[in-house]
Amino acid sequence: MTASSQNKNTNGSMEKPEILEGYNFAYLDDQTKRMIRRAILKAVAIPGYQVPFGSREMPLPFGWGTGGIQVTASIIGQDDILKVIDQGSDDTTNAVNIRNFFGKTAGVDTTEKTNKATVIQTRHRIPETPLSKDQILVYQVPIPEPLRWLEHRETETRKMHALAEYGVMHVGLYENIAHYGRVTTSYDYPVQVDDRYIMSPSPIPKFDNPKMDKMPALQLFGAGREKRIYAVPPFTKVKSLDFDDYPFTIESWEESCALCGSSNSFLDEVITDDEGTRMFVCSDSNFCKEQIEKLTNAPLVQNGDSS
Amino acid sequence: MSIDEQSMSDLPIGKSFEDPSHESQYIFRQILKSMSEPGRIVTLNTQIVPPPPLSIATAAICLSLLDFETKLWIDSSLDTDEAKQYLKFHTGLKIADQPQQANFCILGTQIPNLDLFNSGTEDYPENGATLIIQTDEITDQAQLQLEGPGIETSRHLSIGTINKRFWANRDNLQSLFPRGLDFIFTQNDIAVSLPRTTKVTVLKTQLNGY
Repeated sequence: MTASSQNKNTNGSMEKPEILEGYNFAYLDDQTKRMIRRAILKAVAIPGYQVPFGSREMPLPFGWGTGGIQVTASIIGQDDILKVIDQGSDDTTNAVNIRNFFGKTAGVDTTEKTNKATVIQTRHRIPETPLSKDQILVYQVPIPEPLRWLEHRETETRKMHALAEYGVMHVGLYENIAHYGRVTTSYDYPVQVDDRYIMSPSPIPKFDNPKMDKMPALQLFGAGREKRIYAVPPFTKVKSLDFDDYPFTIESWEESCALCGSSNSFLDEVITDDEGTRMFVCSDSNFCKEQIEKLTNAPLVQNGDSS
Repeated sequence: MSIDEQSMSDLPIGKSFEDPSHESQYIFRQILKSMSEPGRIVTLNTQIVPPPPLSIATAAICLSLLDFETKLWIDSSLDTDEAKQYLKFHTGLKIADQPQQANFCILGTQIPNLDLFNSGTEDYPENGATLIIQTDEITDQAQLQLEGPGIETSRHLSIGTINKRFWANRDNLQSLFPRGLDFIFTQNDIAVSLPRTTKVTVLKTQLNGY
């Protein structure tokens, strides 16, 4: 890494991989994109409702973000700047590979900086930096049906959604409180969108649930194996289920981030040796870097940079 | 390959996208923006030349979103052979005989009773149709007040001459949610969307046209 290449990358954009020949822009063919785009528009028109779509075989197995990738491929354009995170981090396997995938098949600019990105694809986190209007957040979703753990039959859950018959969800929460004295669900915590559909927020920690409420950015959800797309438009009410006497709460830590000192971000516990020494660090790697940069007043080298 | 006279006469007049993949994507993103922020007026910058009476925005939406999997119904006021031929040639869409069968409909300002259209079912509300309505004027003046998902507080919108019954008709339809119809109003190269969730209050004092 030379000084000059660091300078080139101060805006957080990364060197582009070579574009693969022989693929349509962003991999998917146009007919597939149209089908997915029509599903996305209906998903936006019916917030929180899961629209079935013809999920395609992707060049990676289900469970690695095929739903999110198909949504991103259908919305992304040449001028978009893409950020991909996996558990908050830009530099884990899933994030690096999906970012490279779109670099190679669409040739779009990619970034690690949350506020520079126009499209952010995420696995299991919402960035700490508040998102703004005109950004789109694409979630990778494994199980889109929040009622599935209580009712296995698709025919039944579809009826329950149709009639807004959601009593069983509250019974589930009640039993949890009766057993343990509190709601023990800590991720994929169910929400109700615009006072109507109950929706799975994907396996984000419940720490992130309040960020979904009235978020200025458009939120799109793609489940590849389960073949569902759903959405939350900007500035839409998203309420985590709870009871008056057991209100919804989020995780908190006594520790602060060992790297940047942040006391209000979601922390990962990292074991640093085989004697049980541990540290807590921000799960959002870009947020952590920005905090350190603010403290030291010097730009850090971005992880994805190459010289 | 030579094109004989017979097939020449089958070719539609008018011009479609020059770069279908990227232009479709751009038009879709503008429509996605308009659908996720109801009442926000978007411009569809494109070089297409559709045959009249199709407006640029109406045609661009069709070229971007429709194909052999979708059925389109065109209201008799806009239903010309040139328009149908242009859309069929460039998208491969199917023309529906009845509005009830269509996923997408193109309408003028005389909007028939909304009961005629497919509003989906409670189990599958996404089957509710998208209605593209060509009007003579779209501005952000305070004729209508919009509230609902996608709108931070409220937004103003004015849509040219539309028959009076329409807003009351749409209001009634909203009691059927999640069933419903989603509207895209177009004029020349601009478009604005009203998905089924948007609550519209007609500010009567500001109404013009009747």
